[in-house]
Amino acid sequence: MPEFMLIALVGGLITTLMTAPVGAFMLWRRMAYFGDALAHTTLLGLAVGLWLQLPLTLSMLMIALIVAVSISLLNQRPHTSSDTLLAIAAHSSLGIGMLAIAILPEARVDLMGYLFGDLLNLTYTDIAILAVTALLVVTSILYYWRALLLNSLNSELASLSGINNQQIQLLLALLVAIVVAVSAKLVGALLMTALLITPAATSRLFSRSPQSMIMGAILIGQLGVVGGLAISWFFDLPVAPSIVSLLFTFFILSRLIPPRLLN
Amino acid sequence: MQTDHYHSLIEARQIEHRFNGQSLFSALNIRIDVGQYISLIGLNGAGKSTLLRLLLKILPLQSGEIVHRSDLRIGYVPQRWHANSQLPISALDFLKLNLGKSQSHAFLNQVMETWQCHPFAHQPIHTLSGGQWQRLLLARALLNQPHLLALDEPTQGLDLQSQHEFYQQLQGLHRQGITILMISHDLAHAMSYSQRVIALSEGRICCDGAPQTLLNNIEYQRRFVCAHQDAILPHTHCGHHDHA
Repeated sequence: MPEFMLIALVGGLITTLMTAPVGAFMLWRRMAYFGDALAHTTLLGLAVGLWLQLPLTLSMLMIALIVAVSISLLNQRPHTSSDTLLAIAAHSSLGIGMLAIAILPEARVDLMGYLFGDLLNLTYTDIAILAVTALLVVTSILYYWRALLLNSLNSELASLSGINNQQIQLLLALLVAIVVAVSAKLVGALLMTALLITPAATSRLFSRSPQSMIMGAILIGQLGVVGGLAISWFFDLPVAPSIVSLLFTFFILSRLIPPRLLN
Repeated sequence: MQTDHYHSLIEARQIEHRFNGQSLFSALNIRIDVGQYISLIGLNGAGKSTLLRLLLKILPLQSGEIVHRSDLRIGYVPQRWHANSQLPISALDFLKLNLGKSQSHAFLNQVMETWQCHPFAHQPIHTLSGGQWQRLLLARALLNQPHLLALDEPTQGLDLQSQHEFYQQLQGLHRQGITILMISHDLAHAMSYSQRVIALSEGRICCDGAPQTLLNNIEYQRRFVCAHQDAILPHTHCGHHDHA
């Protein structure tokens, strides 16, 4: 196996370790559109990075974190509709980001790579960043597991159990932002949500507990990465769309299983 | 901060709450004493649930002061919420999640036995029936051995037989020394089971006392009994002067 394929495989497998649990919480908290909006903001982060000559992953992370915190704080104010906020944030940042990249005189950036993913161009540095981020995300989720789960079930009961709901909601928003910004290079801004949501949604059908749903989502995500890379290799097709399409196929196939076989 | 009286579990002084720029209630004073069985009644939109959440400190206080006894343990049974079916959690796991660090699984088992949760222990919570859901929430609320059990319309959606059984169980808990504070739409229950009825109307407490004294309270009769009667028998116009 060529080295670039091996790096892509390792990068993809590490990524699913963090996208699966974060995606499951997004499903439980009905935050799918939040993740999608943040994924769109990575284009603005890319533009900011190019303008300020910052490392692109860092600038995408900064913008995603700023947008995540802003949306979370605005959501806590009255008279604010969260889906309106998300729609404005998503498409404004996408538009402004693309405009900024277009007018940047010396910008040499593979925009298609950031929109639809560039898994085959991962470097060892990218792998190191992904590994550290995955460790941070998984550790945070394990440490705050009870609080995150209680908050997802019922915030009033969580509050009476001594959980600070605002802190927990902010933590989850930050985790989504981190995962989206760091993983955007793999599958691209426009396909990012699929990697977060589809494995968790497929796993839900076979799961009887939150833990088993996350483990299932990791497994399905990793099958998607391995299968997507294989499809891309053997049929000379783009990697990220292959992964996303395969994950979608898993989701559809899971829906065709008769319910009596699942019980 | 503690309450100045040990027999007082919660003391609310001069509390105010505004929602969407409108005052829901102002200058409200309530004291919840140990051992009482209290029904909180009021018409829709009177702010009963908001008041209960403020008293329990679930909602942030906008103005005034709410003081809990320093060692107060609260068990809360909220209104049934729409559990997200995407989150697969069984009744047993739900209870385990709410189990304190100092509490044993033997205690959990005992609570589940008392509230007959074993038959649906492995069922996902979003598939539970109204009665099962109520037993689960009550078991959850009792896990921390509360001094005060606060319930928000707990019999909503239950049939009459189940409601009767539920009230009997509450009475049993009250006899064990647990203070009950319950929002109720059921005036008959409030009058027959409670030791104290607090009626909330138009931003203030219009009646507060033993059920017997309320029967002679003109404001209570006008706002609640007549309104209730008008709804059932409109031609009597018991509360017609209300709209004058």
